[in-house]
Amino acid sequence: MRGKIEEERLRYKLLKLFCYIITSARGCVEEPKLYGPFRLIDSVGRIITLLDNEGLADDFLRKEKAKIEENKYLVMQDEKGFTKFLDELVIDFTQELKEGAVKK
Amino acid sequence: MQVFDIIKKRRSVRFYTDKAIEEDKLKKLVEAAIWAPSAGNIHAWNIVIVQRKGDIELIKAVSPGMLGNAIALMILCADKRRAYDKGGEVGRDVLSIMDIAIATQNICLEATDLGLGSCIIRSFNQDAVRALLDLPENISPELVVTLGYPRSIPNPPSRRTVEDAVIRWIKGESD
Repeated sequence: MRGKIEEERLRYKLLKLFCYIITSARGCVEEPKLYGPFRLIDSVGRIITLLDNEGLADDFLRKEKAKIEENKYLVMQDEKGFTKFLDELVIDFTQELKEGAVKK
Repeated sequence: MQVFDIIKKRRSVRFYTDKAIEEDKLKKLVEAAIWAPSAGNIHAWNIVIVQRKGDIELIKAVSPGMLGNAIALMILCADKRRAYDKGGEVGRDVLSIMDIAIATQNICLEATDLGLGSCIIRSFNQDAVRALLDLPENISPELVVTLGYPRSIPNPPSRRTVEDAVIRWIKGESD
């Protein structure tokens, strides 16, 4: 069972993450179109990091997080490459979802 | 270094070592900003410097464009009241922002010359940053510059050619 300090620490981490997502949402109203997909995918990376720090990420999530970190900046240099990377992530996660559904 | 070399050497650096930035270097960066041109010599801007790690983290939380880490932040703020009093609506809405952009470039170029990395960020929530820093209503945070000693320096992205950038070149009779 988590102690109160642990819970407060996790709550604070989540608050920081929510601030990032909320200010991203507000920014996306006016910012360049491609910032939207970037912020969403960066959010996934941040959520996996948070899970990993809490001992809740598995090999699949860690591998995908590394892929996100390696490729997310393509958005600034190579739009086609960024889109291809998103397509690959879609397949990776869909495959994982499908395997999870089979196991259940 | 020659000016043009510094211009070409500057990169948007997002990952820094833990090494603290010396105070005299931060002051030098502010001085570089002060020497930037200003419309009507109004200088309707101020700088907030943040070095405390916890405060940098809070600002990062409301700044989606602030990726990686930062050892110090310089937040360039428009003084909207001063800009309007001295320069009217254009001064407040346009010129103060242009002044800040020019001053920010001076900061980044001087940082490069001092061996520091920098990254200019506009993707942050202005109201949230104002609230975190307890800034008065007339002080508007416009640009955040992250600073530190680079952990890695990104490769330069591609740039347009001179021919692509210049859409019309009206040469003199002697040319």
